[in-house]
Amino acid sequence: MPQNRDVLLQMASLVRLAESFRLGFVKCNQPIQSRLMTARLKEMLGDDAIIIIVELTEPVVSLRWAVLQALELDKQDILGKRAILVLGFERSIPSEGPAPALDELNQSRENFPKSFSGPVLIWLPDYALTRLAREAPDFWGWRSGVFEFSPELKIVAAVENMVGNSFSDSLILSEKIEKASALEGLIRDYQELPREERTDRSMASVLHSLGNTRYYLGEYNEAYRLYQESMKISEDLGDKSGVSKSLGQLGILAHVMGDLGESRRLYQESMKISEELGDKSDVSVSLHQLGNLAYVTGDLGEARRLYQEGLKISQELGNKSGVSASLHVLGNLAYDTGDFSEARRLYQDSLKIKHELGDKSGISKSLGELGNLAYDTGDFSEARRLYQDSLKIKHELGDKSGVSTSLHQLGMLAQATGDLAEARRLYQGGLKISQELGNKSGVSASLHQLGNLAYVAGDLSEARRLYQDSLKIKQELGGKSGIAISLAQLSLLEEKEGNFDKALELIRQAESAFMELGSPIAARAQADRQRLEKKIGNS
Amino acid sequence: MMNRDPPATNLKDAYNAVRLDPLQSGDPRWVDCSPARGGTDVMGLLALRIEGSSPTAQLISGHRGCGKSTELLRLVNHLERENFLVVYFAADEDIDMGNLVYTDLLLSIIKRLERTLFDKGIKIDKRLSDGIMMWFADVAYGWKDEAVMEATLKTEFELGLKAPAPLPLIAKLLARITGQIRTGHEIRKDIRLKLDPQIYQFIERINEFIRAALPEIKKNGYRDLVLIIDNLDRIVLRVLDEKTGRTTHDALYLEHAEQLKALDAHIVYTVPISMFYSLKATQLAGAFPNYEILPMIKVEEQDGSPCQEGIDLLCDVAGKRIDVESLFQTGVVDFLAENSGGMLRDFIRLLGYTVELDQSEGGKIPISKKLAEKAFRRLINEYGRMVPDEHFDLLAKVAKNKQVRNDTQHQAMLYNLSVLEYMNGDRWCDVHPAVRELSEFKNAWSKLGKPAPEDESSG
Repeated sequence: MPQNRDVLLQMASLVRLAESFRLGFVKCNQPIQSRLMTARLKEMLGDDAIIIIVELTEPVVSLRWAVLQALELDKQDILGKRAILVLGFERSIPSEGPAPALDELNQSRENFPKSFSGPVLIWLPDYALTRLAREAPDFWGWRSGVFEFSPELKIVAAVENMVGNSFSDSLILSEKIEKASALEGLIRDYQELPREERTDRSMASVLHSLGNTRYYLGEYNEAYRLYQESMKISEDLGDKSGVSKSLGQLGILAHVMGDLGESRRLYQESMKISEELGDKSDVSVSLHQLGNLAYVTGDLGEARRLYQEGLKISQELGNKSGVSASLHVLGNLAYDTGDFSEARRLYQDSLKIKHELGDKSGISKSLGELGNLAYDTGDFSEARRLYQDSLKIKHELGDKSGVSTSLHQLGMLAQATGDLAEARRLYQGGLKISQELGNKSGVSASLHQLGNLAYVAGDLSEARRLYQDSLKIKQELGGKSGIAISLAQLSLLEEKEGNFDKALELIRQAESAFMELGSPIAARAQADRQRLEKKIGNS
Repeated sequence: MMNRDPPATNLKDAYNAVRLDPLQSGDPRWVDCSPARGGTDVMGLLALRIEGSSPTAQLISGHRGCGKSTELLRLVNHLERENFLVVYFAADEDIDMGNLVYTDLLLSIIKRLERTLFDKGIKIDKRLSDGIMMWFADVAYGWKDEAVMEATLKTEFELGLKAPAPLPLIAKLLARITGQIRTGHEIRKDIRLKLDPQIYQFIERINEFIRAALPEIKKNGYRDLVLIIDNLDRIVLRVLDEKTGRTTHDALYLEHAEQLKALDAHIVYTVPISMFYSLKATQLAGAFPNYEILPMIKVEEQDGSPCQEGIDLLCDVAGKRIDVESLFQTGVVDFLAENSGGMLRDFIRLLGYTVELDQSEGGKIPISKKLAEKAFRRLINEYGRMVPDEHFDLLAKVAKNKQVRNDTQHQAMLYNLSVLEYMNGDRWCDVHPAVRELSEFKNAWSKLGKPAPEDESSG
């Protein structure tokens, strides 16, 4: 693009001319474009100046200190002229909300010439540069040039291609963050490019992808906003399929945040559109999600029906990732009804496909479930190995909610092997993440387990408090199996305190719920009830 | 440091001759621009009050980049030549401007005063200075025993915390207090809470110190003591109370005017210019009757015709740095001067842009008007980034009426330099020439039922 070449020439001329500190700003939306442009600048300058690139990978409080620190790390005696290019400062400038790094910057201009003897060029995307100009005016006031790169269609297309091809939930954390900033760059580029249908479509799809990335990083509110924005553009374009996809993702968010009614409504709306469009693959996704909802509310028959319907479509379409997801949840169903060998078979079939697809996130989930199976059959060392393998992948992926599940599972294992202190530590670790994510069902599960620990330690009032807190959340969410488990634990507690009638009432409720769900725990509840009835009869 | 080089005759020298830093006092490149700043020598007025009266607190204000620091440094130099002992410092070197409380400023003043006296070898009665020192030690840290304090400070300073020995104990103590207030969040709160209720004793201690120092200062041949605090106008503007609109600026200059005025010395504080356009401007002028505002250099009259006097002065400013005749085609520097709005920093910036653009396009000299227009275009884009959309309608009205209202939005426009203040007898305001070129401004202007301003002058 000729105008970007002029911008490069101007920057090169600043670097060549300046014999002391000079402050310059560079507007460039796309990190990939920034890297490309810095490389071109380097080439253009040749031996005239040494270019040092400082890339800030995390938010900083003081730009000057961060740059000095980075230079210190890569300490080399550099003779001759050097220009410093600072990339990534936008990580310290959120698009909204306070930006303390700008306040600090506003009063630190006097220190820059003391620290740097040549030009310092700060590269920022458009929004961040505008915030800097407005919120750090005393620093901005010392600029010796603002160089603005325009979006280049070729680069935009390359980035679209790159982010379009990567499978979001299997990227490792740093790759996800990288992908998020590439997507953000694209959004800003689209805003600058002339408006036409193609860019609007791309915008909707990029907003959606960024929403997914934010979702996987556990930033649910941001994900919500992005899905909404994407849906609005799809609506304006009359792109029904886009609307349906947004509805589906909003349904998942509602589900995670515990609003099951809203979630069902969204899934159904999304499925209706997909059916109208004849988009079978999207229909199978909706069936799967609706199956998950039926599953968590204890309607296992309905869940099975929905999962199997979804599986059938995926098989017809040859959609392997859909098949593996269906097999996994059917495995969960078998597991819950005590058919462990069927569950293992299904998990392993699912795992095999995930390996073929390189679906790391799916693999971590399968390993976790296989770990649960090992745990339930008493093979604790195998369970630990599987849990830890699963946790390792989740850490790599930055899958916070998955990490909290693994911590919970390892906590149960520690508890089963008698290491109560370790169990508490792990539960609390899981609880903290779930609270941060706003994952209510995770919070309730952790509270329940911490209640168990208090119960074992004889602290009955603490145990009661924790069970009741957990039960309250479960009732909000409407998960029958979880409610039944809480009731059964509270029954044990009442029994221990001598309140047999109350205990009996609770275990009866629990037992009938377990029976209804076809859960193997029903037998144990029945035994508890009979024992209590005998006690009351004897007294 | 001082630049005594002849005006630059090639592009590289020219680029390095146009730098944005304020000039040190006595720099031969300084040009007296007061004729175009309404004809009054603002610094002369400040100096006159210092020379002719008993200690007073004065305020000086002016736009960012209008030459304020350069002028203040010149005032320092003038006063020093008149045998005053001047304590000059930039507030933001000592204080966190994002979180400033008036006691921080007073602490910084006594710290700087002590340092200056020490550097000049002026000693004050040890018993008295020890008494003052122990008062601070007690209030800030609860230290009542000098030996304990000495031991603590000694270890801290020997661990390489701050300045090298042999600093007097009082200097170490004040450095510790001001340093902690600048950087330590918890301890900062703690010290401020302790100082605030003791403010009258606090001020009395500073005044005791000044009174003890004055006879010694005079013995050393000085006429009097002057404190000049630059960059205090960089205090971050934040609304502290949504209901009343009370800001960080009000908290310092209005609510604590009495304390700021209570010191027994000539003192000059810098104030954000926007305060003079706030609803509380009268209150401020009431609290500090001695204030001056350094206006922009006038490059255009109120009626829009060019003001040749100001343009010529800016051309002088350029001529002290660059050999204008050999490097620029005729009229190019005039064009830049007119479009800088008379703001020195933007003018110097435009000169640099023009040189840099010329270099990037092959380095042909003399530099053409076309490149100067390109440089101005860059400045226009930069202002486009600074001005929020909601300001344009108001800016159009300012351009029409040449006046600003005293409210927060106009304050913000003065703060971000989209509105500049001029003076010829009366004060008047106009919109920065770069802002006038923005399409959003032109739309707002035509909504007022007037053609765009540049059409007006060509018509």
